[in-house]
Amino acid sequence: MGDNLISVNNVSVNFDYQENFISKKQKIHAVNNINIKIKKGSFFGLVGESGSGKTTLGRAILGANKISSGNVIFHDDERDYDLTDMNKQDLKEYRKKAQLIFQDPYAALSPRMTVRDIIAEPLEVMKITNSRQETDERVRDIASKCRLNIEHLRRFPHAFSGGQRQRISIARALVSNPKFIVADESVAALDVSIQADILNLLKQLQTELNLTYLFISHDLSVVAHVCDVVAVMYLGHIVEMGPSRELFKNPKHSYTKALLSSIPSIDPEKRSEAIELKGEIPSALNPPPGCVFRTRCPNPGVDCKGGEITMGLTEVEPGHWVDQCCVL
Amino acid sequence: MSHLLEVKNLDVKFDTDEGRITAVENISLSVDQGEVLGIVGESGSGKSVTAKSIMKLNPGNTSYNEDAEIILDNENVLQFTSKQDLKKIRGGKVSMIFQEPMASFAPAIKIGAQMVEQLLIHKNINKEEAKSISINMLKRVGIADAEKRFNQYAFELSGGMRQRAMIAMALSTMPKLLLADEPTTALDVTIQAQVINLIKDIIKEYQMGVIFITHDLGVIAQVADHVAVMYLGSVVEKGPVNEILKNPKHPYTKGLLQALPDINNLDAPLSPIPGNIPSPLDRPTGCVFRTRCPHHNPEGKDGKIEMKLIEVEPGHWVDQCGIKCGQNG
Repeated sequence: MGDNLISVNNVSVNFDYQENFISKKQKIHAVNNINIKIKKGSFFGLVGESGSGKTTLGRAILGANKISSGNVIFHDDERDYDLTDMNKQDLKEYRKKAQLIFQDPYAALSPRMTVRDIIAEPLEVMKITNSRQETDERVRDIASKCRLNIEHLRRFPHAFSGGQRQRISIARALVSNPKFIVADESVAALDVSIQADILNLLKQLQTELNLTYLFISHDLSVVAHVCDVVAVMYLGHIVEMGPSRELFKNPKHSYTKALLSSIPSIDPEKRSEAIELKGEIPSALNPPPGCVFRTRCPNPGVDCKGGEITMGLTEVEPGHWVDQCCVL
Repeated sequence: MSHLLEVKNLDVKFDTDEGRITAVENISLSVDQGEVLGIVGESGSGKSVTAKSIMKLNPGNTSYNEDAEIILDNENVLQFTSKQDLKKIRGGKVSMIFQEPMASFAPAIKIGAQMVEQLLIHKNINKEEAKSISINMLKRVGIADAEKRFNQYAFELSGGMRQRAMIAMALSTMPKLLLADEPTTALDVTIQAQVINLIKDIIKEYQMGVIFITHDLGVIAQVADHVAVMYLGSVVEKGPVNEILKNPKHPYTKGLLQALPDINNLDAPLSPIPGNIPSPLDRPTGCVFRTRCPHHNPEGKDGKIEMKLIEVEPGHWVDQCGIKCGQNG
């Protein structure tokens, strides 16, 4: 597999759902038959609206959600880990190597712990360090890499602004020396100026510490800026995937096009060229058969209206994959 | 010509345990009928406090300065104290849309009942009329099946639908001024585009004045006619939207624009504004932006230059310290 760090093969995640205790059990198809490969050292972007399954997929890759079918392989230097077939010992090892950064830095940090304890907790829980001295060293080292002031380590999270808190969360995620980071909407709650700062920090840490990111976001302009490869998700499916520049310059799927046109332009003279999508994302309880996007598609083909075309990606250009319904 | 709303020299201060906080200092703004004034700024810049002052919705520990005036329809809102008077502005002449529609609807009361209730308070009509006005309004904002939605609870609606219902409720009393506080921030881009278009249509149709608060300069570019950029409680730059976004003068406005990822220019580096926004408890004297200003202007750095807006081009006002810094960089 060589240069891939993560291979996601035909992964689906379903949740059981029961409206009340007498009604029939149903299945929510949160993520359907996803295939992605994340290269070592890449910044892989996952975009989509709320309810598209991006967080579920991210959590599935971390082993935090049960995978209903398919498998996820983590290619470490010496060996491969298969997430669907892992014993407790392996899972513990894997946790050291794959970490998550959350969206809301206000909710992610315990208000009763000092910054030092917050960052040190993973080391202690995973028994990575043996002495307090060693722990302190690691904490100080990662804190300075994340541009945190060493004197601040004794304080509590309430004393910090959103940007500083997010840096604390990043330090906590990185302290176990992971190789793979899932950043789930990690800049969504921040002001633009702080957002730019955190994005630059993530980039810098990537080269410094040899990290691979799965960057989940709903903000296309952010993703376009930082990611090398982007996958666009809609209702549990990837509808388009490719190198980010190619994909944003030359989007093929109608959903990607609509998303791109919906970004409010900063130029007041370019008002409202948005391709307006009718209605809202359908429920994942009963997704439309065939192409999932056809209920909102601005220009559905004759064939796909009835849902005859199944979902499936086709390579239109090297590395650029588009759902077949929109290619035909 | 008199404006629909005119805010003059407004200071808003809060008394807290740690001391008196200046949330807003010396703000002057105006909104005409059918005009959208956008207010942008980071969190903590005083955007929402300014808007809430117009409805006198700030909490009990708030104090306003004596010489401040908020003139709405030739009446000074700040002088209002009686419930009767306040009722006229809260939901009558002025309506507000919030960021989180789930938090704005009462969860255990049907949407229709909430809409009817506020109509009965403000208009001299009976329940039947109120119901038909509400349903028509729900239809107007693009809610399919309005009769069904009228009898549902807020949690049964999706995010975009709830925001539409919120807008319908705010508009049903036909306010003269609409305060929209981050109304599209919690929505997905495709839904945001729908809601922005809806708000624009409605402004055109009803000719109301709007104050549109957001931190997203892209949204401002799409909806606003005029823009005021706020930083730490002060307006540092204001003017027509085209002027502000294409020809910004103040280093803070420039910084905001440079920090914004632009999808049409992926090679541009993202440059954050250095430093952090100071706590309102130790607000810098003189120019409020000087602690983070990338182009130190020796006089401005010591805080000797007072905040004062100067007209650099017709209608385009910039803080006087910012003009000097802006020239250096």
